[in-house]
Amino acid sequence: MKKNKPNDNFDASNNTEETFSLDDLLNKFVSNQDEDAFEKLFAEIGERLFSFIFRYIGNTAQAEDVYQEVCLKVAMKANTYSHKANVASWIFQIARNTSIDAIRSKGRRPTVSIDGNASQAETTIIELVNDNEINPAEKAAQIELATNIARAIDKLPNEQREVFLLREDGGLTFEEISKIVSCGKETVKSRMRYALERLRNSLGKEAQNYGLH
Amino acid sequence: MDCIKTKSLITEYLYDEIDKDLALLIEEHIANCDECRKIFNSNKRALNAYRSIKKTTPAKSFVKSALSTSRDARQNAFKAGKASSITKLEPYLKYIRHPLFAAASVAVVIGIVVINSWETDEEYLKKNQLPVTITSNEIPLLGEEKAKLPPITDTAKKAKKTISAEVSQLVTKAKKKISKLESTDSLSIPKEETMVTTASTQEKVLPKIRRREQLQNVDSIDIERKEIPSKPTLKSQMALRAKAITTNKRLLARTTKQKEIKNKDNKISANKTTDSLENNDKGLELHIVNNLKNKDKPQKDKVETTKFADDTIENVNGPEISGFEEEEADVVEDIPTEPEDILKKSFELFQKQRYSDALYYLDEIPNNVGKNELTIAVIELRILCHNILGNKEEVEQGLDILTHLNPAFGSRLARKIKNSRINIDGKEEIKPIIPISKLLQTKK
Repeated sequence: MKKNKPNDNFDASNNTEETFSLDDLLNKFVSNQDEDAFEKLFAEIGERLFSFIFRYIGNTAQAEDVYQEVCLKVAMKANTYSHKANVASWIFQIARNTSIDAIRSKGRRPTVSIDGNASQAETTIIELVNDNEINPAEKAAQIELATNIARAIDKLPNEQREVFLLREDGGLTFEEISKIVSCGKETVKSRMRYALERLRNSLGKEAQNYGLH
Repeated sequence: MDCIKTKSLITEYLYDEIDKDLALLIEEHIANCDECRKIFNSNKRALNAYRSIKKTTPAKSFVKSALSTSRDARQNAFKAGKASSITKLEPYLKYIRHPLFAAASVAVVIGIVVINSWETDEEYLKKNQLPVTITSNEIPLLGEEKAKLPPITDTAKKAKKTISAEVSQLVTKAKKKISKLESTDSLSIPKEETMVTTASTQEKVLPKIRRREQLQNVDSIDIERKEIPSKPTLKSQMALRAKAITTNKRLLARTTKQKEIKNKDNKISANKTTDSLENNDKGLELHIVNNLKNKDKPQKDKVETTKFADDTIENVNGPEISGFEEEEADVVEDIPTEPEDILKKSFELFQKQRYSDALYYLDEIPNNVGKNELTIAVIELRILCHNILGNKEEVEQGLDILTHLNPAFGSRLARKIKNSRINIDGKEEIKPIIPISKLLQTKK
């Protein structure tokens, strides 16, 4: 099933290259053994996926291992995809289960220390901040905000964190999240509400500059 | 819409997962309610702050390596045929991995092994190659068994011949031993009984041997054949001897009584009675018997009065008595008249282990000897003889009499008999408590 190119990705220079949905890419990969489709699939979803894994586990090295394992699982078990759920939902379910296994085996080692001292991993977040077009004062504020956000997410309970991350990073609906975490839709919504409340309280005044349009 | 409902729907409103009608109602409420508007704004700010920071992305090199490794792994899996086969079998693997499936498969394997190793009777017989078979004339067999039996082989015939020959040899050996025992003893063992026992054992044993021949091989038959009881036990021999003694005694008593009656008849008819015969019947009887049994031997010291009786008996019942004489010549000797002498004689026989003969003499002592040591010694010796010969009833009777006469001595002897061990030859010989030889010396 071909899908029209989204407006935000649309190239104005008469580029007629067709884009495919995640379902199509996975089907193409399974039926035609198309490796390009596999790469495109992860190009589409990879950033969100890694962000989710990174925030969920809280450690870059461990997140990379889990990410690679998820890629492998998707490649190997692509035939078993039953088309009952969304492809993104399916891949995020794999990612969530693999992350849980990793946390169980190795434990959760947050990137940012709870006591507020900048750790070695904290610099990873800082590096991620876009520093090309902003002045140093704004850059410092963003770094502080990123650190605070990372700390606030680490402080969240697992149930609330996973719901928040699946909604924000995975872009899944509450219905899909309820299927992944195996609970009711209303439970997911309440978990999300509590997660937002905690995040709001943690960020405090820092969030005021980014809130309202 | 109230504040509570608005607060519960704010999250859905933020993510646009709400109906348009409800969204309009929430917008109206937020516009009018400061508290709800504050919550909504703070939530939106927090989300914007989170979205404002750059998403954590993996390094491009890492993404490439991760994808290439996963692709290689998949290709390898396809080459090995695992991926496709595994994915096709995936729905069924859960059943195969179930423990019940494992248990069922093990049971099936065991069943197959048992069925394959099962042999019918014919197969078993063929496999073991039973060499010995017996025809239906010798052992009654059921129809099915007969049908299943293999034909008689030459080895089976040979084995059968050898077995029968060995059995007959054993039987003849047993017969010889019995005859030897008979010859050594003065009394004859009834031959019919021994023959019956050997024949009966043979009859009992032979079918068993034949059955074993049918079921086992020849070697095992050889082992079984050695276990056949070929000769009677010593205990049974002793019992037979005792029986023989009692029968002989009865015969002897009967003949003496017959002689007495005939003597009396002769005396009355011939009117040749003597005073000695009238006064002492018993002494005469004994003399008559002794003379009859020792008629061939000339006895000078015999009383003249006995000549008459000898002639009479010879004339009347010559052949009958002579036959008896020949049979019992070794047993019966001169019986003394005095109780002391009889006791002495019987004690000598007891020491010579001629217990039945000793009893024969002891029976000649009258019971009214008196309650003295002599009587006790006689009863004791009688009990001991009966004990060795295995006459339990008579032993008990003797002990009763003895305890009545002398309770302490009776109980002592009873204890001694009770504690006596059974030897290989039979009962243990117990020496008399009363020293008979000393007793007799003092009496003299």
